[in-house]
Amino acid sequence: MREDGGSEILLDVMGLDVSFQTRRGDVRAVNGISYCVRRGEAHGLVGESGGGKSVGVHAIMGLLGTSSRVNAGSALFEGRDILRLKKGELASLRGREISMIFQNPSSYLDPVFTIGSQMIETIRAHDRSISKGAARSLSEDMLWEVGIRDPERRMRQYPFELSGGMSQRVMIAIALLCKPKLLIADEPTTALDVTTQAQIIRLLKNLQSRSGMAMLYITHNFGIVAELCDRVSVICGGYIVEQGSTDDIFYGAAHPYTQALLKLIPRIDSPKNEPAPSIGGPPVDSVSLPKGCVFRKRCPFRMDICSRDFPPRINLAPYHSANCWLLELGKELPGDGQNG
Amino acid sequence: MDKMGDTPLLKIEKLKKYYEIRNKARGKSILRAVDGVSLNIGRRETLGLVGESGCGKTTLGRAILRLTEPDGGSITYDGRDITHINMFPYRSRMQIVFQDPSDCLDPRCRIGDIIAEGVDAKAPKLSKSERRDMIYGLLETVSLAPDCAHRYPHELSGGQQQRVGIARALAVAPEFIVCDEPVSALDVSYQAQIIELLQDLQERLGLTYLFISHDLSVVRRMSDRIGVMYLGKLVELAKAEDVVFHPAHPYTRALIEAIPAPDPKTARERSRTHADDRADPGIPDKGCRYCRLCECAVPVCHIDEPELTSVSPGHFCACNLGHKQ
Repeated sequence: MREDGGSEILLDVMGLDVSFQTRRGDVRAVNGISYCVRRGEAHGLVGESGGGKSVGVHAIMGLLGTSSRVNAGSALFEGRDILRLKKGELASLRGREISMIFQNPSSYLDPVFTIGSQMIETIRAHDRSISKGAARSLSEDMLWEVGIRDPERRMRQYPFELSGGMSQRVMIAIALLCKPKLLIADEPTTALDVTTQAQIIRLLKNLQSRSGMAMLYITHNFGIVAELCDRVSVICGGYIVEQGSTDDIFYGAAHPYTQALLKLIPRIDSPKNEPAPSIGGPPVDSVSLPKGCVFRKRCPFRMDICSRDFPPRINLAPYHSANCWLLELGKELPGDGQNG
Repeated sequence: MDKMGDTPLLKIEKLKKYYEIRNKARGKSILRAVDGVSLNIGRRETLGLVGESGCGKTTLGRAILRLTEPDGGSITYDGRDITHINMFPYRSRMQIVFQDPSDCLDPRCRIGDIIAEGVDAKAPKLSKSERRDMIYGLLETVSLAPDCAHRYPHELSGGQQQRVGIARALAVAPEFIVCDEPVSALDVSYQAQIIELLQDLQERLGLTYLFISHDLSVVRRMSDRIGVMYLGKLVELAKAEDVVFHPAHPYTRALIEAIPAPDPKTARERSRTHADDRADPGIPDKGCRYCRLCECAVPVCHIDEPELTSVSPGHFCACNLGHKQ
């Protein structure tokens, strides 16, 4: 594990605030989140579905629809604010500097083109000077790199001929074709079964350590974070409620929401008759976002103050912080013992 | 295992389902999706079935209900051979809950109407108010508010949709339910709730489950016994605790290792070498089906296909090395 200071900052997101206009009113999906990804580092964004983790990242990449609005914030990538780039500038950044892989690979591959033609097109879209033949051999090398056995045959196949795990490997290969500095992975293994998931995670880990690329990994599964990430931001209801190194979060979780999420990790060795862990109550409704702490309705330790104001950010250690009134008031967290 | 004492509710013997695959380049070939699987399920028991996608566990579940016709073997339900009979009288006794609730609920039907189909089939002569009470009762059984009956599937969350899928299966008052990956499409926090609901229903209504999932940690939470499938064969069958804590088959051990580590320390300890992920096994012509990926394979594994044999009381494993490893 890297020291806390870490390397140079590659992507610095500050105060990002995104909302959607709907008939029910504005949905405040992301509320001033800040995080940074350093060179060569894997940063995990963790939270339940509907928590705003995907929206926060899609906004940076300019992938949100017309009903969305970025109200405030900046996202500096190597010093340039990508939220204020022109369309063309953003297009040349995407794919070349920042690539993305998604949850459901089969819906992102074009069903009417072969894998090969999609890969060659990707390379040539970014650099016309590369010949088709050169692009083909680059693509085959990349397929081999991501663990595909017979690249020549796969290049001629259509997406429907591939299994889920194979499609995800192809997606990763396409994402890496232009050697990006940052790979954004939006729940890439959620649709896969555990054995394939384990393979994809090992693959990403290897590729990352070999190429030194940074990674922003969105997931709801803390088990994957333990395997893959150096640093973690926990998102709840569009707010970041805790941030820290992976060890800080796993062995010193300070926010009740983080603790609840950690208990949801599927464990094979837990006693059978113990009730299945769950976070009581429904996730936050972002239309009528409550005043005060977003987690308070489901929090086992809620106090009066929690419904009045959003808790301030408390620094617990260098680079480890959490937003919770319990910490501000200096109260011991009853559930903390089992994590420490 | 007192549940196993009397005659099993369901007994399948050497069940087979083959598919013919036509491929322009390679011509016809046969995919042995389920290849001679035998097992029993006792009354009120939950048998878990794990394996990776493509191992035939869903096909097996569907073949038991004869939603797909088996190509060989026999199915005995409650003492009667149902392999070739008309299934109609059995449809109300054997039900299924599917993986993706949004796919299997008609988007144009209100929730109430979806559930009503089962109610009407079971009790066609109900008065209007009895029928309505029945529907509300079913919604209550799965912890949904009665006003859900007037909503459409897309208005519900994934967890709520899966509850509707369960209520629909319960509408005909079945005794046996095949749960085909009922929680795989759901968020972690909803997964736990659905598992709890299924366990609670089993206790209240005396249900018997065949619980299919690729996730061993989920299966284990639900099941009394677990069967592990690999490429159409059952490779291990034992009490849930034995499968998890004393796995006998190398493939079962690989499945357990594939579960992400619960914390960073374990993850770092675990980062050792793994078999080449490039291996694309397919079913070998002879020998053990797992031999090409198996870390303990010996020459005999490439020649003899092992049968499911007992390694200790109630613990069966199909491995040439048996319990000797």
